[in-house]
Amino acid sequence: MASMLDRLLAADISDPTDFPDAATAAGLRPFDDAVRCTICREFYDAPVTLTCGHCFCSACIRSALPEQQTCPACRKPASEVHIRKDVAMETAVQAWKNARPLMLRLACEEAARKAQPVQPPHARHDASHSERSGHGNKRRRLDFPLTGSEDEAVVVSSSPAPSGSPTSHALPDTVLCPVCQKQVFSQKINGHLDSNCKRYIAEGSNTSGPIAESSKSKQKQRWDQLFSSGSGGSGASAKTKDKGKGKSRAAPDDDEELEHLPKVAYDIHPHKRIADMLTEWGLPTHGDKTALARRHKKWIVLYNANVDRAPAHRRTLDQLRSDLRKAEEAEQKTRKETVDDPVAYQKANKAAFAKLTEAARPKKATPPAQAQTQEDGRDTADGAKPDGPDDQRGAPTAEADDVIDVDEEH
Amino acid sequence: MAVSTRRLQKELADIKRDGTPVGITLLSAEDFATWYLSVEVLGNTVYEGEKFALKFRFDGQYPISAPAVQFVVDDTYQAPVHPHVYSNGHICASILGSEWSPVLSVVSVCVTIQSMLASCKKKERPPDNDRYVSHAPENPKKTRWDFHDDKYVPSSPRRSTVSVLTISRRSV
Repeated sequence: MASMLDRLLAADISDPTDFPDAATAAGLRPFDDAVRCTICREFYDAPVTLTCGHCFCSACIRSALPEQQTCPACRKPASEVHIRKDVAMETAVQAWKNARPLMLRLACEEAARKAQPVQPPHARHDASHSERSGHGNKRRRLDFPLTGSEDEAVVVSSSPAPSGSPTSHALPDTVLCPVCQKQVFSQKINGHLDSNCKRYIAEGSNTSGPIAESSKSKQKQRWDQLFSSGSGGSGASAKTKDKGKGKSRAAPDDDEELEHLPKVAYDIHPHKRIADMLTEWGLPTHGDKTALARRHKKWIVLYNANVDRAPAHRRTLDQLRSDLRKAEEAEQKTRKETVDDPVAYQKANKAAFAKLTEAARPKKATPPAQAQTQEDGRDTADGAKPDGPDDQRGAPTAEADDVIDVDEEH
Repeated sequence: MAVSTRRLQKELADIKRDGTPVGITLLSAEDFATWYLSVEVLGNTVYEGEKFALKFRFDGQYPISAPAVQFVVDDTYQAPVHPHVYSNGHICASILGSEWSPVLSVVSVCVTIQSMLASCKKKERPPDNDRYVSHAPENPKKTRWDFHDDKYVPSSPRRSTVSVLTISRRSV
C-alpha cells in the first residue's frame, strides 16, 4: 500500500511548493498558488467567479453549489445563476502554464546557486558586467541569474535538452535576442528589447559566429511560446470555426452563443425519460435510475464547464464524453469500498463473513479482546449488538458503512 | 484518477514538503481512504500535556463532500473530554457537517479542532453523551447533527446535540 502511495506521489502533481521559498524566489510560490482553484488545487480550468469575487474552476463550483448554496471561500449566498466566466484569469493561467517550466528551472538553479559558495570564475564575470553596464547599484541584481560555469548558462538560454550545446560558445550570462539575434545580458533582455535592440548587447558576441542555427530557432520558439501564449491570438479564432462544425447541437456559426444546459429534476422523471436524455447526447444508458441521473448530472456539469472555457480551449463533445467515462471509472474505483446493496453484498460474501465470525467468536468471550478482533467481530455480526463500552465500534447498523470496514481491513 | 485522489495527493505533498502547523502531526496516510493525524493543544489549556488522534475517512466525493472525522479511541488514544466531543470520539462541529466547505482541507480541519479544544474552559462530556453513544452509528457522517444555531426543534430527542462552530476560510 505504501509503495503504491509513493508511486502516486511521484507522479506529476505540480504544486506551489515546487518553487523555492520566498528567500530565494520571492513571489513565485504565492503566484503559483494564486492561479489555482481552492477546491481542486489544480490550475484553474474554465475559471469562473461568483458575485463575491471568489474564483473557482467552473466544474468545481458547479459540483459544490448543489450541496450548499454559498461561496465555499466566504460563505456568502451564491447560486449557479451568479456564475460568470473569468476570461482574464483563464488567459493568465494559460500563460503561466507555458512559462512555469522555465521559471521553475531558473528558480531551482537559483536555489542551488545560493546553496553553493561563490566560485572564482563567477566573480570574474561579475566584474566585467558591472563595468560594462555602468549601473553600480544594480550589481547585486546582475549576478542573480549568472551561473558559475558555461554549462549552466546553456540551461538558461536554450531548450531543456541541449544536444551538442552550441550556445556554450556564447558568454555564460547572455541570451540570444529573438529579434536581432545578438547576445544580450540575460538580465537586460527586457531593456534591450525596449530599446529596439540597441542597448545592453554583450561585447564579444558574434552573431555570425559559432552559434548553430538550430539553437537559434529553438530559442526563437521558446520566446514565441512565451510571448504568444499571453494573447489568445489570431490562431484561436480560426480554431473556433473548426470546432463549431464538430458540434452537432452547438449553435452553427458562433461558439460564443453556446448555452448552458438547464438542471433537471430527476425525481419527477421516469427511468425511461432519463435514459432518453442520455441518448440525446450519445451517452451510455446502463445502470439503474440513480446511476443514470448521476451520469446525466455529471454530464451537465462537464458540459456547462466547457461552455465557460474560451472557445479556443473548448473540448469537443467526443472529448467530453470520454471525460465523463474517465470520471465515472475513477469514481468506480474509489467507490469500490462502498456497498449499494448490503443484502446482496452479504450474500455474495457469505463465506468470508462466516470465516470472520468464526475467528471472532471465541475471542469475544474473553473481555480483553484486541481491537482488531473486535472490529472484525462487529463487522461480521452485522446488526448484532456488541458488548463492552468501547465506542470505536459504536452500535452497528445494517448499513453499508459497517460492511466497508471489512474491505478496509484487508 | 478521481478528483478526490488528486486533491488528497496534493494535500499530502504539501504536508510532506511544508510540514504541518505546530501541534499537528501526520501519523499515517497509507492510502487515500483513511488518514490519521495527531493533535496537541499547546500552551496553558485544560488539555495541557494531552495528545489526541484524529481519524479522517474520505469518500470519492471529497472535497465536495466532507470527510468523516472522529477522535481515535483505543489503547493509545482517548477522546478529549469536551462538551462537543462524545466518548466514542464523535465530534459535533458544524464544519464537519452542514457547514463543510470544499476549500477546507485536512490540515484546516485539524487546526479548527485544535482551536476548539484550546478555547475550552471546563472539561465535561456533552449532556446526552451516554444516550448518543449507545445508539451512534459507526460513521459520524451518518448522524444527523442538530447544531445550536439551528432554528429547528430537534427532530428526535436522541439526536439533540450541541455545537456552534464555524470557520470561514481555509487557513493557508
